[in-house]
Amino acid sequence: MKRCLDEGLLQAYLDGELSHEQMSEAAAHVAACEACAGALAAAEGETAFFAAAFAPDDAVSVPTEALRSRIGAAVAQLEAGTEANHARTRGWNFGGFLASLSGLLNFTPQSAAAFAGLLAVVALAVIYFAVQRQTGKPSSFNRGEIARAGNTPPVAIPGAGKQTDEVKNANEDGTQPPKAGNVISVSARRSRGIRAERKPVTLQTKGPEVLPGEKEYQTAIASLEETIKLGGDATLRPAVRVEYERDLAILDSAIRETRRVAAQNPKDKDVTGFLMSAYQSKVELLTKVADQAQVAALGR
Amino acid sequence: MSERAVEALVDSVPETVHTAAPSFDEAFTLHHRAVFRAAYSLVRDSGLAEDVTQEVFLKLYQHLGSLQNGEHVRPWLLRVATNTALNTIRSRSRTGTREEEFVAAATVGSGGGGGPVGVEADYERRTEIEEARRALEQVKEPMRSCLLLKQQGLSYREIARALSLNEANVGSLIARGRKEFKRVYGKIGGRR
Ligand SMILES: [Zn+2]
Repeated sequence: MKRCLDEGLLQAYLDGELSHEQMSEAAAHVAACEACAGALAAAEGETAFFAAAFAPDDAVSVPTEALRSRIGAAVAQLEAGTEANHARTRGWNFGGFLASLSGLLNFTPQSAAAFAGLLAVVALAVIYFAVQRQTGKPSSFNRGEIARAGNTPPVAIPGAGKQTDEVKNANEDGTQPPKAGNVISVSARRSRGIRAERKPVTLQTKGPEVLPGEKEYQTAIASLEETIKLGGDATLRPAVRVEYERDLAILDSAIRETRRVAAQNPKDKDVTGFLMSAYQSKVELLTKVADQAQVAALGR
Repeated sequence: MSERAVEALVDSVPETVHTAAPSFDEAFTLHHRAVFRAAYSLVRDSGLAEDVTQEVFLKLYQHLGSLQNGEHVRPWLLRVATNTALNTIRSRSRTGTREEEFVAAATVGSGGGGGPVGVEADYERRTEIEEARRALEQVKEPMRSCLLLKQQGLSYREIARALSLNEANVGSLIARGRKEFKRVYGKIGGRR
């Protein structure tokens, strides 16, 4: 390189951003040219100066778990806001069939995985928060359940992307038995059996009066569950159903625990906020599945 | 170099292999440390850095769909992190509360005749940081962002992508930004 290095080249040389060939040319030039050697030294000094002022402090520890909880909760809050608007315009009757079709189109593996992974995070945040708030009172929350929730990896729904095609194929070749084996409702019954001694999450029946905002969620959930039931067997493939039921169980325990704390501290806005987030997550999950169910039902 | 060695080299460059858009959860796991540290290097307060990190990931959550390439996520996050951190500093220095609090604390600490050395040294360091930040605020875009993203370890290519610049200009933008920073900082420091 015969010509002197301009400031950009000099900087790129300093940062090791030149090609191999350019690097050695620049090095040869700097070695032979006093002006460029001086400029390089000055640039090095200034770079060190800037770096010292804005160096990331290695001593500071990154609060991973705190960040995970609060970001999970914040995302849930965000979703609660948008989805509540959605729900109001749809009147909770889940009637907008076009809307649900477009929902199905969004049901890509990525979005399902992102969504399901998020669910686990949100559920954990909610559980953690609820248990934390339990001042003085021993939590009845089952430790095993926490551990299991904690072990939940980002829950990719296997093959969720193929779902659409499979549903379509099933419909096209007419192999779909009408109202065949209601696996969903069977398993729903079964899981209701398992949870027999738990209080069901439908709350109008007992305990303190329904918290503000809660009723809307319950109505929505009931309507979504109805839709899913109508979808029957074709709604979810078995592998997907396992994921779905696990997520649902996590959310249900989150709702149960948060609700208990919220009922004791009805004025605590944080707790009720978390409860609403938990409801919201459940609505989201059911919505995804209900979208599938509507398509499945259409095929019959 | 054998073909296998070349392959191994290619495999060791994560960007060339992992280009699918990550899930939100993955993105958090992979990048929250870099985002937090980038925020911290500017705001110098753990609580504020957490606030910035949360804001950044909320923005990611809203834009994840438009970031199709996994390669783009880190530069994008760091760009948003530095911008958000700068905004935080700006709004904070407008209220000025923290600086005043710190001055008050330092004054109380040294009240009893030549106070603890730690507090004074810390105070001096804080003053330097405040001055550096004020100098940085006067460096114009896109030079300032180039400087900050370089500082966070991004390559020229990543910087160019994050800021929609021509990669060939990144070097001189960094050089000019750095010179401008030095000039303004010298002025601020000279006033002391
Ligand atoms: Zn020269």
